[in-house]
Amino acid sequence: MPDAMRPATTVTPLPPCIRYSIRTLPSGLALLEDLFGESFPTQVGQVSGMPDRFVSCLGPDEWSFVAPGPEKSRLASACAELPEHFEGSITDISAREVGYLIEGAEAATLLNSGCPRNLRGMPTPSAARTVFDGVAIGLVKWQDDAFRLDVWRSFVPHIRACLDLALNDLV
Amino acid sequence: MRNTFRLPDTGRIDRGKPVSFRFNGTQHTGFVGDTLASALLANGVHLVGRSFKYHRPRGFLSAGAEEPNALVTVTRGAGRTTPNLPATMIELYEGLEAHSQNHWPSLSFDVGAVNDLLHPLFAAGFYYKTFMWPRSFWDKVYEPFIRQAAGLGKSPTQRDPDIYTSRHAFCDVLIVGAGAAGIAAALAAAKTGAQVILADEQAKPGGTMLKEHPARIDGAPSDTWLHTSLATLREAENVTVLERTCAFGVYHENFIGLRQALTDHQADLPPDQPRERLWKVRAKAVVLAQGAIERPMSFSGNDRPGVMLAGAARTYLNGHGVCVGHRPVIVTSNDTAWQSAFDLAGAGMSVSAIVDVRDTVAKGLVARADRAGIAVFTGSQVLGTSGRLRVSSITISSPKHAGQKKIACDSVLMSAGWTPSLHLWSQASGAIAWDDALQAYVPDGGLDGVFVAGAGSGKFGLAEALVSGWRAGAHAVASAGFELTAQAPAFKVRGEAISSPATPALTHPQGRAFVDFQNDVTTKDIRLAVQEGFRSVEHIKRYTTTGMATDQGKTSNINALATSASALGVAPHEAGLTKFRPPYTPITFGTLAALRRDETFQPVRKTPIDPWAEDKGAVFEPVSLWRRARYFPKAHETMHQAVARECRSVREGVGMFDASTLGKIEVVGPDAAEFLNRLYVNAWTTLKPGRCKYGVLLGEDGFIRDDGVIARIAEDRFHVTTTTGGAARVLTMMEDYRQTEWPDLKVWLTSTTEQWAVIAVNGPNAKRLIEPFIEGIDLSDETFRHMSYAEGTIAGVELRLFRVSFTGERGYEINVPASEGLRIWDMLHAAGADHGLVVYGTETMHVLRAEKGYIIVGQDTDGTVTPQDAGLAWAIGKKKPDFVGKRSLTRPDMLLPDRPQLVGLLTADAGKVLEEGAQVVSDWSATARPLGHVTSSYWSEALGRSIALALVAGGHDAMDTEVTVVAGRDMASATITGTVFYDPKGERINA
Amino acid sequence: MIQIHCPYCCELLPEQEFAYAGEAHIVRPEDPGALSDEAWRDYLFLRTNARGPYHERWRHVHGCSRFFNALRDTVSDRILVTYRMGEAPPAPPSEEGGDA
Repeated sequence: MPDAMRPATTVTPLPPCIRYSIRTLPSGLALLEDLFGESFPTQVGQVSGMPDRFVSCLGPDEWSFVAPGPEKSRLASACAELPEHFEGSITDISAREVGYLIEGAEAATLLNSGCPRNLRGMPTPSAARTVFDGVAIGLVKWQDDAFRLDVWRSFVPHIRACLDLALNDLV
Repeated sequence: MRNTFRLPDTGRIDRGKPVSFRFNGTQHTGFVGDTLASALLANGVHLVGRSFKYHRPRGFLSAGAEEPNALVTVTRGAGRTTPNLPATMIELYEGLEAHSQNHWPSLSFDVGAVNDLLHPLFAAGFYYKTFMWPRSFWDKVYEPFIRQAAGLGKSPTQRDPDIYTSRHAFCDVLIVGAGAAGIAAALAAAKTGAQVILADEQAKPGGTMLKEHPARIDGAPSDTWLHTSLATLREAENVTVLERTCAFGVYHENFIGLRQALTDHQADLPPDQPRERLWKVRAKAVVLAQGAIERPMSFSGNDRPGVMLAGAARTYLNGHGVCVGHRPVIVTSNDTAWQSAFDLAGAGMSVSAIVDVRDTVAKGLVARADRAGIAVFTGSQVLGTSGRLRVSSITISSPKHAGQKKIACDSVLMSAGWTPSLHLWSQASGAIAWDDALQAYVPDGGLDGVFVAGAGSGKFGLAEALVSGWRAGAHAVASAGFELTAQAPAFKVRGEAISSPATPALTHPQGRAFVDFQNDVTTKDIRLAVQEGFRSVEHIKRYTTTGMATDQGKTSNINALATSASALGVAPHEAGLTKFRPPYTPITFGTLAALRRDETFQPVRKTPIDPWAEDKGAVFEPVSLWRRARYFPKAHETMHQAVARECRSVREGVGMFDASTLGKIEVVGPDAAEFLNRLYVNAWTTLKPGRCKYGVLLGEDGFIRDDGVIARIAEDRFHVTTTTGGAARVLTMMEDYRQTEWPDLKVWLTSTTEQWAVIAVNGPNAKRLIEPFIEGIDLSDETFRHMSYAEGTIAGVELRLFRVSFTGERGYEINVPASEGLRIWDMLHAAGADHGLVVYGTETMHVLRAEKGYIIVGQDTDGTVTPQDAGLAWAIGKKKPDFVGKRSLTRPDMLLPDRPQLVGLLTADAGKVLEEGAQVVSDWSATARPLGHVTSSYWSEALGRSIALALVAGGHDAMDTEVTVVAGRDMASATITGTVFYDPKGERINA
Repeated sequence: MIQIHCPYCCELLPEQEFAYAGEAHIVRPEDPGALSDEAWRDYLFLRTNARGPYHERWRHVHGCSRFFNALRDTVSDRILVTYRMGEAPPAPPSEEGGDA
């Protein structure tokens, strides 16, 4: 396809959402699946759900749960009712990070301006915590041309500026 | 349009597109497809620079990236000045403006050339020998002199307006060099569907094929084969062809740096486009098809303008349609230069002679020379050349002529053989072996995932290049996990150029034969180095500087090695070869820095409240990667005045402080208390939910690593705070113990530093300020006393409230979700006017805490301070059998009475603020003992005098002792005191 | 930049995601208080610092966050094998390749 016809690659901020960092032992998974209504994959990098509500496995005992903002109070009260015997940790990190949607044919190239992982070769869908110019980021690759990027709030100005510069390199 | 030396119908330039350019202010014309070098040569310009040390006139030696002489500065507007570019690599564009370097007042008359007459003074090791004595001359005389005289081009003085980018890329096969071998390799690899990158440093792929008369490959002209093959590769989805892209370094596990030049060749620079792109490629397999570099002959006067490599002359002829002279002489030790003679004669030049050092040469060559009317001298050596700014004659020894013969000429084209380019192979740790026939090193054995093809492997000629290229491509793609089923093409080549570079051992002339043209190193310098005792080639290299110029010895290394070996009386392979290091060719700082520049130089972390501080004109300071508001000056206030005002207002009214950068870790799980108990010195199991405690964390060595307040939110949940700079380190340490020492504990850690914006509210009016906005928490001192924790809401926003103080005043820390931080801050600020509210920064925070003797880890401690040293022994849980670092606290050295201990210092002169870092000594006498140093020092507005904290040997037992504090020439006397200067009874916490 | 196989992510990944974490298989004593000063000193400070294959710890800090063990050749700077915490260390390859 001639370059002129390719849709431009874009960086779009995502609306605020609910983010939980979830830690547990394998025995706690069933309880969590009931609570959140999503399956909890057990291989690092796997994702279940849809782009606006999903669970990703980030480590052997670590999951990230993302849900739309309006679910906040419902989820909070559900968490409050976790049984005493639940062995794990659910920590609200909704405000810790800011999410972006990186979309377009060159989405992987754009992210590879600072991220040393092979993003073209990353499966769809899959998730990873990785690094961009020395800064930890979260990535979910939903499609070859659509990535979700989450970054700690204080690093946003830096990451945005880097991505804006790198966008020049896609023209 | 002069182009006197341009030939009709020859070359691969676009004659329909003339291009005008300027060199040293003179207008010239060339064509699209020219380099600056070929265009200058077409106009008869051979003199293009002055040498580095002797300021000798120099012309073009080569036609490629190996060029040592023809370095020029290209300027194209403000900030766009690039020095030391080889003219052989600069693509011509309309309006190109280039200047020669290293001369004054002009290129043809250069005063510095006096150095050449003084050459005996400038022999190897000249600097080491000359500038040794007297020592005092070094700073004032020698160094300024050397700095003035040294260097080639001048650095640009203006800001570089261009942008540079970088990207990581991944491929199955990366092929370096797009000559016949590289293209054949790419064709093979691409057939499997593997991801292939083909990179070439030149503007047009083709390599040597663009420099020779077309041959025929499998029945088609080689130019057609090239065109078709490149079209196939460019159309393939799985192939990326990168022109103007130099592979400058091979690093671990096939990690290769490529520098792609994007805009330098364009007449009109496209706006906002990067100038260069750094590719950081991880390849499963690499094919190196870099070719070979021709070597100059070593003879006296081999550096005169007009003396160049024979292959370069052929490149200018067949590539650019330029003849480098009308009456060339060929000087060679191998067959390949004969091809240059035949090509030039065929183009109508009058080739004066072929001078071959070999006694016997293939009969066919001699016959061909005879037919072309070229005189042949075999068994001959060059004795010298003459001509001031251009070679005009050459003198040779000739057995036939019983002695010497002088031949008039306007160019000398030389070849002492070909050196396979081993740079990248060697960087990849490939072994090399000496090839006696080639008189050069070639790759030896294999290397995982790296394959060499073509002349770079010591296999010369078009047919060899194609066959070995295809084979290397097939092997590479197989090692990357792909199966190549396609048969190799026949690669039947007819009419290819003479390609036998077999060379006899090099001869070693007397006199000043240049080995390293750019650094002006002669065979004599190398022999002198050996004579003076240097044995290792690495040492000879550094002593003579051979191979150390911007060209990194591409044309000189083997000649230098041969000369060294001959002087050492050993075979070349016994002398060894100097190490190849990246970059292969010079690379701009812009490319290496890429995105890391200006605001993206490094991350600057900003809190949610940062925009407010910026708006209010705060002065910021960096604290680890954060920027924090240091103070908030009102109009015309100095820092001292601003900080004094902020301090006063906090102690008298109320102050608000952005503490969002505090590290926060949520520690959760049934074993959370036990986990903290094992880590921190304090006792945690007895802490009740709703209470908090000041915690001290040690390393196993017993030294303080971090501190912070920890709140117990619930039986199984703690909110741990750390220092701003220590957040990541503490989490790593916690994870380390959790995962590796105590994996049985059921506890989990989550960084919540950026989940919460933290507003510290301190001062007697603190409670009055916040109370109206808070719901769900009873703030009365009975239920919410000092060191309490509770959850509720503030203006309807989720709130974690701490009753803590880092100032000694009544204090609250309001934690709200970061996304709400600025809104809550604004709201409290608006309400503050009634309560005498001040917003304070980190400087005031430092003063207020120092008045109370609260330490800052990393300022009052330095990694060698124990809790006892810091006066924090009270924090240690006395009943705990163990915690991290406990065992170290009873090591013998930890119990010494004269350990540096944290104390207060009060200066005799109350107005004297000591310098932080100043030395504390017992007195000012010849027998003075060093005692320690000042760690914190401020003007205390509350006390109306200066205060300081210091680590002083045996300080805890030396109260009221007088000491002397020294910083440079500044001296003050002070008295050792306790560390709490203000409100020692701690009454203000409830005021 | 080397590549490191994370034994938890089961993937070969760039070094930038990892952090070095010192020599492996140095276990914190069960009861440090029972150790002599010399034994405690050795635990604190003495390291093998091998030339050649070396058991060391790495952490996939910008990834799954796990500490794991690796056998790295300090001469070639190649990681020969990685394995999970708690797994037995593989023996370094013998110098002459000789079981014979």
